[in-house]
Amino acid sequence: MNDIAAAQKAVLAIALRLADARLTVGTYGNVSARVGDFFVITPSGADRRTLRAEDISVVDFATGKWTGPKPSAERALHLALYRTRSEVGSVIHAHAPDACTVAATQRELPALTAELAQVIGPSVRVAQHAITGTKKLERETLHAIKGRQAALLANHGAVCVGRELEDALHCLEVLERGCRVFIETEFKRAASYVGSEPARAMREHFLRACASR
Amino acid sequence: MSDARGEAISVLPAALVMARRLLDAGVVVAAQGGFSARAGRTVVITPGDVDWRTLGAADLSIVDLVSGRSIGPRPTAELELHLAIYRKRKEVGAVVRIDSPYVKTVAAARRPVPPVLEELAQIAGPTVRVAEPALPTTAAGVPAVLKALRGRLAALVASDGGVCLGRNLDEALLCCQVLERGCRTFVEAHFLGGAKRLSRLEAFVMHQYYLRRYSKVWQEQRP
Repeated sequence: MNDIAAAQKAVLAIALRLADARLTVGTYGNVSARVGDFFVITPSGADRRTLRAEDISVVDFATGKWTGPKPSAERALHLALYRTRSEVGSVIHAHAPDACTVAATQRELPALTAELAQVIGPSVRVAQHAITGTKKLERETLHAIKGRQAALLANHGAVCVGRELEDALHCLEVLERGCRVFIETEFKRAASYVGSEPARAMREHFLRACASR
Repeated sequence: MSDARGEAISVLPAALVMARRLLDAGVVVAAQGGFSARAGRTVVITPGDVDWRTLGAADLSIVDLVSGRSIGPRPTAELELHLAIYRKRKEVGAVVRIDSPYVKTVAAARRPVPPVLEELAQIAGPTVRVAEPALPTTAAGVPAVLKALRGRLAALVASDGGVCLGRNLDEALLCCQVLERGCRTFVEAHFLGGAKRLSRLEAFVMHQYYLRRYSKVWQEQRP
């Protein structure tokens, strides 16, 4: 049980760092880590200011039963990720602001930065919208995250996985930076050059208007 | 109102902590419209012209909800709006006049915010309406703001900012954060071709589920 206590502590520390780094808001977001036949996960709706390591719920892989407070509503999604991806040791779900914006547009995030391509994969797909805790959300997320370390959840947030907690957190940071780059490069693209012909016409029109004044 | 005053005095420390948290979270900037908390039959409210960074218990006024009479320094000029909300919405325990950057931008554009994020639908409500009072921040503008808040915990006030409500202080702060984040997503999603919105029904159900269920889970387990 020592491993479980250590994992609870580590999960709590990452949950607190998420809030400090403003990678999530309020009680939103959840963090989990695999420990043998169990995984430990932040409880549902927990106020991070009063959360203690012993409040981190322990869920049994085989039965889905838990001890401690009621685990996050997203526990089924975490469980599904651990079951289908044997290399995954940690899962983080968060409402990082720029990831939320891209998720709201439901556009696939291209790898605009080298770190995103290295850490996450060739792109970050968006899982179709589904209600939290449903089979549909599980299915859509598993589909979107295939061959990747992260996925966006439409109109909701992001999911990141890693071998260890630190990897999953790093993945989230890389994702959030990638989303910022996407938003700002698209913004710049919208501000395009008027074109040489229209520019000449505008200039001529302006000169004529001045002359006739 | 001596009993009532005692009740109000007991919430002063929590109100001061909350003023600090609103500043730290960046959801209140100029603090012109103020923040208030209900304490039984009275309301504790911030003044209009004091720097919140140096706010002390002596700067807060205590106002009787029924008579509108106040003890202590002069409350914010928007006192009438705060009182009207507490009188009309019995469940509301805290009111914040939010003036964070993206909220101000969307309020200036007078665009209602559709349910672009689940968290916004859950906490603020299925949409965030824009109140367009002829004279914002005066008593004459109160009915328009109340109307925009119907069935919601947040509304924008045209050309001005927003109003966020909570059943308690924490919820009002969360509502502010979520509204600012929702407005940011709404604005910046335009660069990417615009946000897809949740359906009206989904958004409505999410708000109701949040109010009745999700927000209570933790309190039940750790009273």
